[in-house]
Amino acid sequence: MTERDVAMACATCPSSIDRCEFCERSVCRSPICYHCLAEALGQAMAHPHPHGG
Amino acid sequence: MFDYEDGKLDWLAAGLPSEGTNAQRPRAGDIARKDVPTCRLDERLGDVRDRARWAGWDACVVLNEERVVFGLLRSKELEASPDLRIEEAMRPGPSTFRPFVSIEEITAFMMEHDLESSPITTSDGRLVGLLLREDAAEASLDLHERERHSDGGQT
Amino acid sequence: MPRPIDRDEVRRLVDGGAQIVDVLPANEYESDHLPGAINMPLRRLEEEARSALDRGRPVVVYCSDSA
Repeated sequence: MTERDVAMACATCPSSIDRCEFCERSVCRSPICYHCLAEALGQAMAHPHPHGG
Repeated sequence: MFDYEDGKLDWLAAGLPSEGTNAQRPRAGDIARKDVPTCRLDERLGDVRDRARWAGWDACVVLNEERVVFGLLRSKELEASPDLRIEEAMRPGPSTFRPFVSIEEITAFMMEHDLESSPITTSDGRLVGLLLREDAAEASLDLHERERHSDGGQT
Repeated sequence: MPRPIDRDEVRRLVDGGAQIVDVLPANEYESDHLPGAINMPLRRLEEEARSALDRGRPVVVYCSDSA
């Protein structure tokens, strides 16, 4: 099984994602990508602040 | 004449007050718990866990000096070795949400995804509070009840 | 040409008596607007500004975002 086979598909658009952007899990029954989540919650998502380490 | 280029979304994302029909409805920032324990990257996990649990919490948000969210410790992370530094134990860069998100929308997401809590932050990443699913669900239910009664009981 | 300002300047200007104008469509204004803002959708801004605004006070306009 390749990494491509393991990736999930966003439940809203055809994007392939490694994890659900809402719950951050790699296994989720309704995975959603960043873009679709931002649309759904009205630009609610914050970009994680990069840690300087 | 002046142009506030970043506009209404910037204003709302900063958690500032607004007027209008949506302003009467509870939002994520209103319901989020402001008293969530916080800690720094360089603290010892055991000390932070003790402090959080003494305060009745099973979660802690990791902040820098400017209250920008760097990470999150939920119960699973708090159970790690007490001598770890927070930076090693935390879940870095958690998904966060803006204060203006409607409580109904975020409750639906939290239920669907079985998420216990979500940090609520301003547009520049500063912590507003931690939204607990149980609080979100209760506020959403209260809202439905109020709206049902204001419709005269019509369904 | 309006001068671009940020959120902090908006607050300072409004505290100092500036008028604040929301140029979004009426339904968006009704959902959410900045405290004290009056609604003048963009297409009516020119015709209504003269009668509705006080020329002696600064005016801050805004819409949804910079996009």
